[in-house]
Amino acid sequence: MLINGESKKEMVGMTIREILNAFSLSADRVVVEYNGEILDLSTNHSLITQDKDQIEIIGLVGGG
Amino acid sequence: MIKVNESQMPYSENLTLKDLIKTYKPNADLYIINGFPNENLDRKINREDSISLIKKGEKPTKLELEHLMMARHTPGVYEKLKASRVAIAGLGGLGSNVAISLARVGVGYLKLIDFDVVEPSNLNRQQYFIKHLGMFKTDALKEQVYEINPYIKVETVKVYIDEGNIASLFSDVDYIVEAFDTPENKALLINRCMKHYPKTPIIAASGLAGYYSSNSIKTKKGLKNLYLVGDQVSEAKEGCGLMAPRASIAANHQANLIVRLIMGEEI
Repeated sequence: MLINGESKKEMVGMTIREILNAFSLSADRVVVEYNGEILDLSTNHSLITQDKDQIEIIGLVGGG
Repeated sequence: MIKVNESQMPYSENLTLKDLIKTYKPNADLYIINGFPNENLDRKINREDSISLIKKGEKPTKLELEHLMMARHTPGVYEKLKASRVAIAGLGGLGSNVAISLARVGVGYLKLIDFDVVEPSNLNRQQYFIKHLGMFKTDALKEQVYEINPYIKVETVKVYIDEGNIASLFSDVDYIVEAFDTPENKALLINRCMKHYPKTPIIAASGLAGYYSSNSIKTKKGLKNLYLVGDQVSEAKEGCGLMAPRASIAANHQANLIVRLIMGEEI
């Protein structure tokens, strides 16, 4: 499994929510692409990741 | 044919800049050929040249003004910018500065969206003046855009952007600028716009607080139709406030990316 291009074998089987927690990211401050699709985190946060998944996470910080 | 002050004029061989000045505007003291000032009166005029003859300080008629403003733009660029439509979501430190730059380059349609009014705490970085305090940001910014370029169409929308209105607000624009303050609003707008407008580029910003190096602010491709400006880490918080220089650097990264995308370039 790749997260932002890095191999994260040890995280296979975790939910998206658990992965965000592991990175100290809050679900309402991120954009997540899961195998090429933008995830709607209000409905998909308990999705269980599998080997070969490709995940991109963009965290946003405040200020504008 | 050649263009003199935006009117088609006949071309003839051995025509020089001096001839044109004599014929069309003897009192001109600024000569712009193909978007660039030129002082060589013997400059030979070529077929297809676009020439603007300007008298500095002379107040142009409204009709002349647009042509004179166009003179400083490279031919071929102006028309594309003028035909483009951009929505700016949030008119704070980012959005107000993006609007001013896009107005200056002549983007033809701006949709300015914000629910809030101008407050004293905004003046440290946002493009407003004392006289705007208490005014809606949409109205205060529209007023300034028209002072810069009255030929732009500005639509103002006074709403709080939320889950309910994102699906309808951006259907008539080519580019969406995310210029919100809170990370939750940024994430909501980006996520929903990527869902509802998968083909419309979204130019977002994250990480622009404080006075860290200007050079740490970058324009990056995010995912799919998302572009991200900022250093991605400098969060606005106690002890690290938002300040005019970096806010406007980030805003102008956003504005310049829009110009580049309009011109068919990438980051």
